[in-house]
Amino acid sequence: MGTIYLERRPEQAQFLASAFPEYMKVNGTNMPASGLKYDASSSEAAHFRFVATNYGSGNLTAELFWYADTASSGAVVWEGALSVITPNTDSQDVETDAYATANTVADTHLGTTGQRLHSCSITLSNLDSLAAGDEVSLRIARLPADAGDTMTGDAILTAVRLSYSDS
Amino acid sequence: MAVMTDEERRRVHAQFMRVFRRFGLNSLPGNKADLRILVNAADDFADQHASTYNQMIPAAQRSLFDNDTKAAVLCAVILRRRLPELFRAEEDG
Repeated sequence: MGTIYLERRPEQAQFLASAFPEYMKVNGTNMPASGLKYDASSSEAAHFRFVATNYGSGNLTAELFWYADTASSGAVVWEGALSVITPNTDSQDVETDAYATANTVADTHLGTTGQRLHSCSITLSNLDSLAAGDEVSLRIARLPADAGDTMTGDAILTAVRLSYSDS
Repeated sequence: MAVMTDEERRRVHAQFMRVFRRFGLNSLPGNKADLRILVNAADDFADQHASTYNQMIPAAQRSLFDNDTKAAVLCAVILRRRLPELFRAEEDG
C-alpha cells in the first residue's frame, strides 16, 4: 500500500475563455516566481488534467501552495472539483463533460510576512466514479464571494500536489 | 452629487485590490470588509465635502472651471501630497 503523488504547476493549467486566473511570473531578487493570480472579487478557475494511474480507492487530496499578493491577514476559500471519464467504458462526450460537486477549504494567512508561502489541503470526496487509469480534470477555483474569503488582493497559486492511495 | 450606488462602491473595492500595487504600495492591511468600509467612508467624505471644496474656490475660478476639472485638480493635489510618485512633475527631474 502506498501513496501516489502528482504535482501540477501553473504552467500546466488550462483555462476557459473567461473567468480565469492571470498567469504571472515575477523576477524575484534571486529567482523567478510564477503562479496563478486568483482575484479577490471575481471567481476564477484553472483546470489541470491527469491520468489516475494506479488509483486504488478513497478520496483524493489536493494540496494547494499559495501566497498573498498584497495582504498579510484574512482567509482564502479554495474549491476543488473533479471530472472523470473512464476510457472505452464511458460514452460521455469529452468536450461536454461536467464536474462533480466541489469540495472546499478555507486557509488563513499566517501573517508576519505578506508574501509567505502557505499550503492547505482539499479533500476531494466527490470522485465522479474514479477508477484506476481514468482521465481526470481537476478544477481549482477561489470563492471570493464566500463569507469565509476575507483576504484582500490576489491569492497566487504556485503548485498543486495531488495524492491518492494505490490500494 | 449623491454617494455612489452600492454596486459602484463594490466595483471600486474590487478594482482597488487589483491595481493596489500601482499606487506604489506593497502591503494592504486588514481584510476585505475593512477595505469596503474605507471605500464607503471615502465616498461619503467626497459627497459630504464636495460643496465645501467648491466654496473654497474663489468665485471667478469656481465659475470658470467645470466640475470635472475641479475634481481632477483635487485628485492631483491629493496624490502630490500623499503619493508623490504617482504625480511627479517634470521639474522633479
